[in-house]
Amino acid sequence: MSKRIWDEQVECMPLPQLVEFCQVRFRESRIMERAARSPLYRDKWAAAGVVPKQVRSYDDLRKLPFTTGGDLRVAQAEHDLDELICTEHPRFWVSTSGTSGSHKWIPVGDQDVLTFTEATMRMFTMAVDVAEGWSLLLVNTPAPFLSESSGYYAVIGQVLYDGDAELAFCALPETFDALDFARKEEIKGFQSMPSMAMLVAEGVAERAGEGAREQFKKERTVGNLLRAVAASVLPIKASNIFKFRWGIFAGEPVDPYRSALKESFGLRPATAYGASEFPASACLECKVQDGLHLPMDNCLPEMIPQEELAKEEVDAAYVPQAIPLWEATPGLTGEFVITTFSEALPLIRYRTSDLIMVVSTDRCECGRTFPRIKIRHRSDDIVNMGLIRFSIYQLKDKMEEMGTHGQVAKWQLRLTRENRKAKGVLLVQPKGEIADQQAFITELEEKMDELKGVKQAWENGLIAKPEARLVDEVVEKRTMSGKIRYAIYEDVYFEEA
Amino acid sequence: MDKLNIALQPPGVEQLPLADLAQLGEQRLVEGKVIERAGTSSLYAKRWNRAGVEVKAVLSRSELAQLPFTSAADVIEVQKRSPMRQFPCAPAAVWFATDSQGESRKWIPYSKQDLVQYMGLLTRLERPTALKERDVILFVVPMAPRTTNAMPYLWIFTDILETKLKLEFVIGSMFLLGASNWPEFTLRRQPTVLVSRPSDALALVEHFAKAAGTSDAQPKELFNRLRAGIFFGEPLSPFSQAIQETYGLEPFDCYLSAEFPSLSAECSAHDGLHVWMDVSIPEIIPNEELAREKANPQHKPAAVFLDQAPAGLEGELVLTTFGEALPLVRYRTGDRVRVTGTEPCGCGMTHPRIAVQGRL
Repeated sequence: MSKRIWDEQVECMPLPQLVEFCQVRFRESRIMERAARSPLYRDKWAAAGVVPKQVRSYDDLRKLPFTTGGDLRVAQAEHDLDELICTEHPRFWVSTSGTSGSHKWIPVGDQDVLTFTEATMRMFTMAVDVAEGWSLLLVNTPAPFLSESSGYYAVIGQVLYDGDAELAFCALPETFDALDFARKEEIKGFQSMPSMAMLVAEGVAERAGEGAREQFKKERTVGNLLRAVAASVLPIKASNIFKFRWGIFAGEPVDPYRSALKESFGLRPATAYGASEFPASACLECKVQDGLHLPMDNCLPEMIPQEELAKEEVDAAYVPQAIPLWEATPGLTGEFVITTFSEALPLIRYRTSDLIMVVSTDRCECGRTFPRIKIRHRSDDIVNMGLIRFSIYQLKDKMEEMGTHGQVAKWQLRLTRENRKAKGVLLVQPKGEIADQQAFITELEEKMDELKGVKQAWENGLIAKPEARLVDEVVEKRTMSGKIRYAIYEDVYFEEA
Repeated sequence: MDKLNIALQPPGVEQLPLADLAQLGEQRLVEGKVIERAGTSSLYAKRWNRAGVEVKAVLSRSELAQLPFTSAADVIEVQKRSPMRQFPCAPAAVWFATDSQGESRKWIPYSKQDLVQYMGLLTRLERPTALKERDVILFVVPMAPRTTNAMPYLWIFTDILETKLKLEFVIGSMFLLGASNWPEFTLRRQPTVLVSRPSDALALVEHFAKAAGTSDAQPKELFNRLRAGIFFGEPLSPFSQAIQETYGLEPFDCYLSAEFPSLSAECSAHDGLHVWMDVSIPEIIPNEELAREKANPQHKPAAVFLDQAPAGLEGELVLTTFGEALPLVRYRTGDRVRVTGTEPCGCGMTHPRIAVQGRL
């Protein structure tokens, strides 16, 4: 376990060999034959004249049609689940959060369980220096979400690989309790959503003085007195309380929080990206922190460049051309497309709806050759504010309902940040004269609060309070195809302020 | 990974004569140097020192019976006062915790070896409850950091690596009922076995009906294949009849605590839960002794070994376990139990049986 790199032979293999290795794994996993039995692919492939056995390399694979989350939803709704899975029997199921419609249920096979366990161990080797202390408090979202099960891969990983980590999990509602444990046990790693971690840091700063005074009232020792005095004079930071030295953060853009996390916790944040559909291919930043390594041995990654996505928007019948990720030039942005070698549900050319940017395909300073990417945002209509996610079309419906104090002619949601926290600013161009502008603004803000979880999130300090502003003219942004873009992300949303 | 060792050894351990089991427990207490190891934990070190207990090799069960009891309050006190890292006797691979009791919860370390034992005990749950190949288990899981949160996942690994029953799990939490459609999904998978807290099972009745698009359908009408239920976390008896009526399943009571995943389970004879004598040394503090202690806190209550207790005896369950990261030494569980029998059970197993009546 005290390895610097989990599997040096694979992770540091020169890229051309890695590309070859990945295609061998693709062939040997025989996923094409297994996948061809599933209604998720069967008819579409038959129509396209695909002969699964003949798909043996990336050049063959790239001729296959794409698969989407929508395809998966339809297949799950219309077919027997036993027909859908590509293995003899599913071991268990995880569910997606269902933000863009119904939940997708992802079957996990025995081999998947073992592969994820190894992938998890590898991720931690990438994120942690053993010398820093391999102990972790992991905040998860309860079952049936992936987040809960993934922690146990790390636990069993300790048993299977004779690891020397020390782990503790807590479900989101139990976070503050568990943090108290982490403080006492001097846990060194923290894994959660970045906004959640910042909330903790702010809570500490607010409550530290109070806590110290309370402690002194309870027990009037000199130590407690000194602590109370210190707390009222000195700014207390999370780093004074916790011993975290590293963290793994995922679920929303991490960069806006990066320096604040470093500053308040004194930890080194690593960004992670993954999805319930392809947990073994989760991407993670190494200690060099120059992009997230994409584990090429567990998947065949591609991307659809933005120009191709634009062509598709103009003409829905247009089939965009993807390029293999290992051939992408740094800076290229596009939709991430993945082919996995999973047992229970292999994804074949699966469009993730996530926009990524290629950072580099050169060998990283850490020695690894897995290409590095950055995650931008969703290419579909989902607005991601960490725990809070909604479809921009839900907001569109709300805008159309407006009427008590006035109506909306044009609108646009700007995604920005206020003290690092995600903030939605709703720009509205009213229809005609508005008699009571303040009442109209209040009504607009109430509409935003009606989106699931939004009100609770800003009241609890997880996001900034959304704001509505009336403007003379909303400058519409359109996609290349002329479609209105309702959600506009400002640069600050993804970057350090 | 090692075989799921002691929880499965020796073969046929579930049917060994009771006297042999008592001897096996004693042997593991001695050879495992349980007391010497426990003495390195902050939970025992100072208290034993104050009580004048000499930390030395304990050679028998009767010597064990002379050691002081340990309580939940001791755990909370020690965890509050001394650094957490002085608590485990061996490196912790994972920490679980109890529900919070007032302002505190107890954090319990598990070593890799302890996890393996937990997994081994899970396999033992499969026999008395007659699980079959390809059973589909709906597991309504409490949230982390509870020990029971780990149970379905450890069970998955156990079955992949060891028992190979090809069990399928659908895992859902009460917390996420509003944000997930797992009741609907459960209808599609048609489980054969339900594992949950009894009160959660009853609370779910309306959610399953709603998921099925009806207002009053009972789970027994919605889950045709549902055969058995394994219930943990609270006494089953107050809920048992309602669960049988609504779910139409055979309920099995199961007892475990965060401090030790003993997984004592009811068998098909439904005459108490088998307490595994080869992984613990169970004792009972009879009610009269508890009453005396209540009247006079200085009174040191006497306990009887479970295998020597008469049927019908009621009192507090006390456990000594052979764990690696935290062996429990005469740990007062705070659970009131009744001894239902120590003679061999109709199911063929010889481990003594108790009924768990609730918290003291």
